[in-house]
Amino acid sequence: MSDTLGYALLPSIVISSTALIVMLFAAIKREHRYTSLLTSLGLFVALSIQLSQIKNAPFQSDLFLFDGTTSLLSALLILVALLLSFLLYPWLENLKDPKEEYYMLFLLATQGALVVCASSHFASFFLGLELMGLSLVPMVAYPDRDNKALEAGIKYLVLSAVASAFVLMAIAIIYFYSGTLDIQEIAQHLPFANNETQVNDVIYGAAIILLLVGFAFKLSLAPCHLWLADLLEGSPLPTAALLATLSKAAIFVVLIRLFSYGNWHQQEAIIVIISAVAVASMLIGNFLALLQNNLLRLLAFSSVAHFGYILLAILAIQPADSIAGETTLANEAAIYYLFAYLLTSAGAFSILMILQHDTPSLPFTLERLRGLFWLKPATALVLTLLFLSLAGIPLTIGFVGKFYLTLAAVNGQLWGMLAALVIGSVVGIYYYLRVVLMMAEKPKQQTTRYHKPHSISDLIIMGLVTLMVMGIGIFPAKLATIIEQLVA
Amino acid sequence: MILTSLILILLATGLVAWLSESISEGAPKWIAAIGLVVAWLPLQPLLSGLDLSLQQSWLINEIYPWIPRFNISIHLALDGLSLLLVALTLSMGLIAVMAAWKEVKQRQGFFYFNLLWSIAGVIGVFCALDLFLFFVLWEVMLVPMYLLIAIWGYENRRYAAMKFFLFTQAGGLLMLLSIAVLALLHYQQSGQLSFDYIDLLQHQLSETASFWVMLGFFIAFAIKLPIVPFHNWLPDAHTQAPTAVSVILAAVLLKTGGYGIIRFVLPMFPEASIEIAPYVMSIAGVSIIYGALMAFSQQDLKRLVAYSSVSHMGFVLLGCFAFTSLAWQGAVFQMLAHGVSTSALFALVGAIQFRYHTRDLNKLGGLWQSVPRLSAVGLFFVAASLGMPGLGNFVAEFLVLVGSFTKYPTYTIIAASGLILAAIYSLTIAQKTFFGPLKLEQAIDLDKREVAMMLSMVLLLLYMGLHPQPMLDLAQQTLDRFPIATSPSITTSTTIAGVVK
Repeated sequence: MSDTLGYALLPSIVISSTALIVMLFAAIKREHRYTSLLTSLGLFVALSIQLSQIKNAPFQSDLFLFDGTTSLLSALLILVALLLSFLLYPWLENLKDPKEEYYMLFLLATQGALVVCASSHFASFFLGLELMGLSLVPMVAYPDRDNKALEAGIKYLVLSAVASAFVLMAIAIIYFYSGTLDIQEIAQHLPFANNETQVNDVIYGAAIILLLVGFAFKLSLAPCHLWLADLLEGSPLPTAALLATLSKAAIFVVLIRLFSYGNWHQQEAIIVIISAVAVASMLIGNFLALLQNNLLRLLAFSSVAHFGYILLAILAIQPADSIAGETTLANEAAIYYLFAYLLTSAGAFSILMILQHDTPSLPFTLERLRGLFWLKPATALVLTLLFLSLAGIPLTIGFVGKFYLTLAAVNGQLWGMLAALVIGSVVGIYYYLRVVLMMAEKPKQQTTRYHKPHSISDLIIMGLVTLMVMGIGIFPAKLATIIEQLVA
Repeated sequence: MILTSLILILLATGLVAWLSESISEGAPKWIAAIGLVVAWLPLQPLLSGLDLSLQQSWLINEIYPWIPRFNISIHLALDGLSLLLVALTLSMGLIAVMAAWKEVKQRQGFFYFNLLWSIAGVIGVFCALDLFLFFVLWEVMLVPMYLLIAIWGYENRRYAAMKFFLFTQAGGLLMLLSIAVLALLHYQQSGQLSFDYIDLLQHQLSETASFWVMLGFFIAFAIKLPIVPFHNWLPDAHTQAPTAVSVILAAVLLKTGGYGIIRFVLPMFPEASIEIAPYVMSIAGVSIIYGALMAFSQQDLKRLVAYSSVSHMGFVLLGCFAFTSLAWQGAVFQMLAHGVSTSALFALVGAIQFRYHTRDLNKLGGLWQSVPRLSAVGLFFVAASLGMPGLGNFVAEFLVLVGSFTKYPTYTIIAASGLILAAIYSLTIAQKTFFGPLKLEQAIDLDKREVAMMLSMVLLLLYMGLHPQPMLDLAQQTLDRFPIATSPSITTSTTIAGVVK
């Protein structure tokens, strides 16, 4: 039973069925509380099945590859979705629009991310990509009386469609050259696969660039990064959280796969492009984040920078001259960093959502956090911890990720990139600490913004986030061992 | 378990102090003070039975596994040097708590929490022998320090806190790179990944690799020390920090830089260190002179003391890179003496500011008529700072100068002129604050708590000045194990050239 496609797909099946049940349920009788419970329950069941599959032997079908990496990252994606799903209820309860559809879209977007994450074939990759992208569009524009959300929705729809078109075109050209859409086989079937000289074909080069542009857009890497800030600012918080975490992580997994299975690192042109994109993302992301006064825009640019960092790990996969022959280190680094970034980022968004309960209509300016330390110490502390994790300060998971990256990059002798990493990190610390400082300021006298006490579920979520970020930060051994075993 | 429990006691006390805030306003400071005294208990058996004649390399050595993936362990160990610095940290921590006693009134619980956690971090830094652990603690001690300056500091605190954090972070990242390179090169050679100091110590690097790796460490430590091109953060941080934090900053945080150089840079990269020694000596000379000149031209009393720190720490660097036993002893002793004397000066400035609400030298004056006790101890500390024989600083600076003179006479002569400048700025403090006509209204003299605090530092400085041998023996226990110190070939400057070739 354990090596059948059905078993490997079981978490996805659970999530899709939950989506269907939610839809049917909404058609029969709208009951917000039960829908919310059902969603969380479905995700929870999917998570437990996924976790039980981690140690299974790798299983490959025509379209999907279920190896350790896939299972672990799928589990992570479901975990993030589960965490966010707890916070949907209070937000939707205050919203005047119909509520149940959001859960369905939420589940479908998660499903799309899982499909992308497991895809080993361009057909399944594209299906997953569109499932995720098309579910996210209405989620961005969900509060349809809000002009900003509508604007963001249209922006996302247009830009996402353009990026998908780029990807599709690239896939078509690649198929034209290699006659296969299987990621692992492409490199072998290329007409110039066997000679050692670099790929000089103009059209094939164009395809690679088109594909990379599509990826850069979806991952919001420089120079295709500007949309993310507008979107995070305009869309409702839960959608913003999904955009910044789930959708990016899933696509990044495919990028890892292209490098580790597709042998992309043998093509020098790709390495050059990705190096440039990485340096540009690290520097542009961090310097633009410096100028932001809106917390969500700040998080958006910090996300640009973080995906620039993580490209270092991609570049370090089987480098030309490594110091020590640690072959799996770069893969592990990429996965660990994804873990760190996703948990921290999802944590930060959930804390923002908790803060949002108090004053739903205000924009998330830095000024809004003034004095939070003294008004709501617990929330402020957790948020501080998360920002320290984003900045990569020790005893948080973010530092462990950064340590992995540094080690992998040093091993690959990527000195130029490391210089950008150091500069970017120092700049990064400045703007993360600005937020912390703002929270430590004296509160203004007339502040009545944070009047509601925390609900128990809020406290549980804050505890959970702290536990994950600090727990793995202080005791990274367990996760490190699991990842090492899975990658090896 | 000795070192682990020592650190855990401090961390736990910090937490309890924070929580106790909600029960009673006055509780946190008492808990912090008691915690710092109790922290001596684990060291008690060691101190009572201290026998240096045994040729053991580490007095305490504790290893617990941490991250098996990278073969990283929690490796804490104590030798003579660490023991001296841990003792300094614990005693100055107590002084800091006493200095904050009346000054800090807001959110006391959180204040003492941060204070204790940064002290715990510093002690960890002095004991960590795993490079990864060292780096983690190196960064961890910064965060509470940053909060201490940013929340309880004076007018311009946010700017100062940010500058402090960014400078040390930039250095820290370079050190992280160096650690990664070092560990991977070791892996390449031995086939085993290790971050352990003792493993890496035996590792031979190629000349270029050794130079770059050494540079990463050196810059991180030089920023912390601080040395002239990187000293920029120190005056701001000191000026804006509350008194207690200034005490910790001067007494122990700066010492982590000197400790790093002695523990890591010199033994791990002896050849590369000897190679850059002439440049470093000249930078040290510049630091001494520049710090003294800047101190001389300050109007703000706290800034003056901060710049004098830059000047004094130049002597530590000078001693470290002179590569003679005497100079090394001097460098270690300078760290201890400066830790006490400068903390004392900061505590004094804090006491003055508490009474008169100003640190401006032009507004002060004639304090002797108003607060004779404060002025008397003040004069004593000023004398210590200018290197009066019979007090700790004199012993240290003398040793450094004697030790360096055989190797680098020119730099030593330049550095020695810093002592004259020290006399000038120190006497400026005395003259402008304590003597002359009284410009301000009367104030209350030192109370019992302050007298006890000041007197203990007076006694410490006297002890260091009059009977330095026990401490020098402890330091020598560490220095004896230097790979370069034991080889007799490096005794004159001519053979150094031979080693470099």
